[in-house]
Amino acid sequence: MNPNQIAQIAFYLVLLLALAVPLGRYMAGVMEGTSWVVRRFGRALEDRVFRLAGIHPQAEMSWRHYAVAVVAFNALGVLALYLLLRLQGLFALSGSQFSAPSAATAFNIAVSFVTNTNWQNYAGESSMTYLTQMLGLTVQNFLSAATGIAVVFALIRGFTRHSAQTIGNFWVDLTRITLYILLPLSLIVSVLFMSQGVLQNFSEYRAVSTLQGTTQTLAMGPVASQEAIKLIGTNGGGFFNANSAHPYENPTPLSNLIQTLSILLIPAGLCFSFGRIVGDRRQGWALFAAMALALSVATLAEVAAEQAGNPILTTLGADQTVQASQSGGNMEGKETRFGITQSGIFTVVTTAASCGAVNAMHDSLTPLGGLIPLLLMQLGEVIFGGVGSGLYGMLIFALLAVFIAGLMIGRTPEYLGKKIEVYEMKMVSIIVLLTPFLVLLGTALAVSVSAGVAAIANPGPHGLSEVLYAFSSAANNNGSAFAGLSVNTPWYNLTTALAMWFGRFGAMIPVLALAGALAAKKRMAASAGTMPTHGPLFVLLLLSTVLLVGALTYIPVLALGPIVEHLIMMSYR
Amino acid sequence: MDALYLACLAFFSTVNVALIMGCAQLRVKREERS
Repeated sequence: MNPNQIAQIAFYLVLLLALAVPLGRYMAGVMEGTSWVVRRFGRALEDRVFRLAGIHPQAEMSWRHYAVAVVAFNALGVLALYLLLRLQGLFALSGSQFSAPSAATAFNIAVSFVTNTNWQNYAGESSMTYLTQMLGLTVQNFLSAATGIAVVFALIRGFTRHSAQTIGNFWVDLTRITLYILLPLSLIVSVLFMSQGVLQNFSEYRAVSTLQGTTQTLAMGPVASQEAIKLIGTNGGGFFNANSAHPYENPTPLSNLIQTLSILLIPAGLCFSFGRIVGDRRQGWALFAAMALALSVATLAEVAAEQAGNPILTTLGADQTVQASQSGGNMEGKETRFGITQSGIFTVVTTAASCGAVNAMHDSLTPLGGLIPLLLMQLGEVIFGGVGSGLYGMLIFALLAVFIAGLMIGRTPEYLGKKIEVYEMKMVSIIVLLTPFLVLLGTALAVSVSAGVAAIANPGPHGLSEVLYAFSSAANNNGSAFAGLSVNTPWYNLTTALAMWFGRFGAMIPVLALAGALAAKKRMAASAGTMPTHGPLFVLLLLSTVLLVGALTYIPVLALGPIVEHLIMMSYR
Repeated sequence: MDALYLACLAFFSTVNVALIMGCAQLRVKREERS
C-alpha cells in the first residue's frame, strides 16, 4: 500500500458521505410525504398513477397483506420476464435479432433480475434484443430495487409505530420510490455516463476494420439508461458480458468513480433516512459508521492483497513493484485504465453492496483477494448491502446484537424503545440462518453430483471457491460471478434460481413479520438500564456480531477454498 | 419445458405463502401463550 492508494480510498469514502447525507434526508422526506419535491410536483403525478392502477393510497396493509403483495408482484414479474424472454424472437423493434433463450436459461434470468441478483448466465450483446434489455431487464432493475427499499421502510415503520396493526401500503411505497428516488437518480447518472462516452443508441451493430486488417463487430445499444439503474439499484446486470470492464459500459476513470459511488449511494443514504425517521439521527450514524468501518478495512485488505501480487512470479524473475510505467502487483483480469486500486475499490464495493457489477474479473484475483468479496457476500450483504435489503439485514443484526448484550447483562433486550422477545428472535434466527443454509447446502450438493462438478474449470481448491462463490452470490442476491464455472446448465440454472428466490423472499417475509410484530408493540421510554445503540460501543458490538456469525458459519469452507489456495501459492515461493 | 419452469415458479410462490402463514401462526400462538 502506498499513500496514493490510501488517498484514493479516503477520497471515495468522503465523497460517498457527502452525497449520502443529503440523499438520506431527501428519501426520508419522500417516504414521509414531507419533501417539497413530492408536495410541489409529485401529487398530481402519483395520483394519476394510483387512479390508473386502482390503488387506494390511504388503505394501510397488515404485514401479511404487505408480504402477499410483495410475493405476488414479484412472482408476476418473473412470469412476465420469462414470457418476454421466451418470445423475444417474435418481437420487432429489437435492434439485432436473437432467438429466444432456452427455458432453463430464461427461468434463471427471470428469477435473477426479479430478485435483484442479476446473476447472468448469458452474454447480453450476443443473446438479448434491445427490447428485452429495456422492457424486461431494465424494468425489473427498477422494480426489484423499489421492492427492497419498500421492505426496509416497512420495517422502519415497525420501529416508529406503536400499538399499530399496519406497516404501510406496498403499492404506494413502490410507486413513490420509483417515481421520486430511482427515476430521477437514474436520469442524472445516465446523462453523466453519456458525457463519458457510454453508448445510448438504437443502431445496428457495426462492422469495422481493425488496424490488423480483420473485421470486428461492435455491439451498440441503449447502454447508459440500463447502466445507471444497474448501479443505483445495486442490480449489477451488465448490458455487455464484460460488464463494467467493457469500454462502452465504463469508459473512463471518471465514469468508474461515478459507478462506484452510484452503487453505495442509496444503501448509505438509507442509514441517514432511518435515523431521521426514527427521530434520532445518531442511530443512522451508528449504522453508517459500522458499515463504513468494515468497508474501509475490506478495501485496504483487497488492494494490499492485489498489490502484493503472486510471489511465484517474483521467483521467476517478474518485477511486480509499482513504477511509473506499471501498476505492479496482480494485473491479471484487470483493466489498465483502472489499475489495481480502482479495481480493488470496485470489487469490495460491489460485493459489500449486493450489486454484482464487476470492472475486473474476480476469478483472477489472488486467493486472499478473492476471499474478501466471498466473505463480504457471506456476511449477508449487510456492509451497506443491497438497496433496502442491506439496511434491513443490518437492522436484523442490530436486534441480534442487543439480544446478545441483553443475555450478557441479564436484562430484557430492547431496540429503539421496542422490547425484543421470543417471536422477534425467532424471525431474526430464520433470516440469519437462511442464507448460510442455501449457500452451504447448494455448494455441498453441487460438489457431490456429476452435473455440478462437470461445470468446474479449475479442479482443486479454486474449483471449490468457484462453486462456493456462485451459491454465495446467488443466495445473497449479489450476482457477481467468479467465472471459471459453466453455469448455463439445467443443474445450475435451477439450483441457483432456487437459491436466489428463497434468499430474497425467504428473508423478506420474516422481515415483514418482524415489522408487524414491532409495530404492534408499545414504545418504551429509555431508562437507565437501556443500552445505548448510538455510540462506539454499540458499533463495535454490532460489527462483532456480524463478523462472528459470518466467521463461525463460513470459515471451515473458506479454509478448504481460498485459504488453502493461498497456502499452496505461498509454498512455491 | 416451459410447463416445468412455470410449475417451479408456482412452487416457489406457494412455499412463500406457506412461510407467511407459518410466521403469522407462530405469532398467534405466542400471543395466546402470553
